[in-house]
Amino acid sequence: MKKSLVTHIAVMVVAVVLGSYLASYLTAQQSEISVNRDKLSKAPLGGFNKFASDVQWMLFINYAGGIDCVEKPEAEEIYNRLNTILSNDPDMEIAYNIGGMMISNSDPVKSAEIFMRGANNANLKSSWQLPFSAGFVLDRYVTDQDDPQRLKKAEEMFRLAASRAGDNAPYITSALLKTRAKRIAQKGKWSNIPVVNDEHALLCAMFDEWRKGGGSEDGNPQASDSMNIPDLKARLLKAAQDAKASDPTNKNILETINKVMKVVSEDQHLCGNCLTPYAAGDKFCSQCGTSVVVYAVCPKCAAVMKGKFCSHCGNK
Amino acid sequence: MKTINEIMAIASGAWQLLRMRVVYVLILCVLVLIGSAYRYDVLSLGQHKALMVDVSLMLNTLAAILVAISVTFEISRELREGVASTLLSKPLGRTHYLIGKLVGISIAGIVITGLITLGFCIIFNSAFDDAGIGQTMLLGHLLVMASIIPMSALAVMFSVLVPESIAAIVTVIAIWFAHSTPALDKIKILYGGILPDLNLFNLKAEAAYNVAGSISWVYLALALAWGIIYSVFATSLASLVFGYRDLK
Repeated sequence: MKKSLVTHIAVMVVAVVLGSYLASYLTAQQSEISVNRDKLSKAPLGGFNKFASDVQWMLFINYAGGIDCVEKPEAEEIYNRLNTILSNDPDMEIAYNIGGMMISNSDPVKSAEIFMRGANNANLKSSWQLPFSAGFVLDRYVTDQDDPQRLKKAEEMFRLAASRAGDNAPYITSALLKTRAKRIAQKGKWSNIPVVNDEHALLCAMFDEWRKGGGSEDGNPQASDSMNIPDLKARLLKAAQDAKASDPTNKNILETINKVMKVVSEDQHLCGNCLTPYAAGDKFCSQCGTSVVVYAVCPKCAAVMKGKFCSHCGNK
Repeated sequence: MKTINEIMAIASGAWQLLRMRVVYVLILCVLVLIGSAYRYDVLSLGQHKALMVDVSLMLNTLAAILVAISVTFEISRELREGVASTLLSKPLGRTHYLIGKLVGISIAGIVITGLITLGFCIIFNSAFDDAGIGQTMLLGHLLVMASIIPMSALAVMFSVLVPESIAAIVTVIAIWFAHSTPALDKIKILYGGILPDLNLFNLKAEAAYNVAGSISWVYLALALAWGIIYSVFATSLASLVFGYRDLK
């Protein structure tokens, strides 16, 4: 009997040590597999958290179907229900999207918080809609009184959305540039130049992106906070034209345009009045009729030079 | 060899469960419930695919718990009626008896949860032509099947440690507790060593979303190994107490 007792105790001790070691290893593995495990509700649901969130989600749909419009009290109720659902399943993307959108008008601060929570969820990092919606709500609905940092946050969210969407969503880059422009306009100054109007601010925002991208034609996706903005150079030119058209004599705008064009369109010939590119041999701008500085013509016969020698008179 | 034969003879008693027609009727009901999740496409706003996987995992887990607690009734009944008195005449026989019950109920549980898993695979494949059974979904179900071993060990242990009238309730509470206390997993030796950590078998959300590459076969094997090690501990403890118990 004594031998049996010792054997039993020995087996139990070995099993406890081995089991404990293996359990801690598996717990670490589980934390890697399920990165949001720590965020799960601590309610004793017997491991049925996902099922609980499914049931709560269907009850939420049922509730949402029964309300005519979302005012403050409904928004509060929706927010609470969403919190319960997401505490049991933080990876339910549809709950962030639908719930956040439902309260975006009546409680934009909470809506943005829901979207941002989803956008920062490691398991939903393939979703560009969540950061885009977060940026959109922060930019359009949240006020400066609610959150003085809203534009900064919106810009970060749009940048995140753009990095996830790739080349497929040009409107994300447009939204980002507009938000960046609003931030510049809010500051009132850009590179020590007072910002005059929205068009001016947009030009500054685009030039910032150009610089972040290392001055390449389409941005520089390799740079950590740069985006792939298609036709950035053409957009910059258009923004410069719009800025000039908005206030043609403003010296701050002209100073900015000079600064931008010096870097961006160094190799291009632009009309001094409307910034439209003109071709070799042109004497007047085809857009506004202003006389331009003629280039690439033969000094002897004034024909357009196509190569090293003039194709008309042979002059070098 | 004689020992194995003795254990398997006791185990075969636990397989009686598989001969009961009501078990298969219940499995059929479970499969009908799993299939009904397909009709929840509108109510869940298109989340019915994940819902079906989740419902199947939930029902499979419940089936595993029910099978595990059935052994508490069986052991209590056999001890009360003196059916096992000849087997239990020697201390060694008592250990074999408990191991036999554990092996028997574990095999019965694996067969039942396996049938539910198989049924789920067929239903899911027929319901969603575009999406086959993912590896993560399958591993989620296999983890539930593996969890039957430590759950059965808990049931065997409590059927010996506590009075007959509350053995099943205590087992259910212990299984529930073992799934619900992830905060305790920071306590070394105690949690996962002495207290069971059945949450190790719970990756239902990952399986429901079929997150590719999240659950590996190695994880399944290690979780199974933990289940067996914990069962050794629980059965040894039960056997130790059982050895000192007076039986009629």
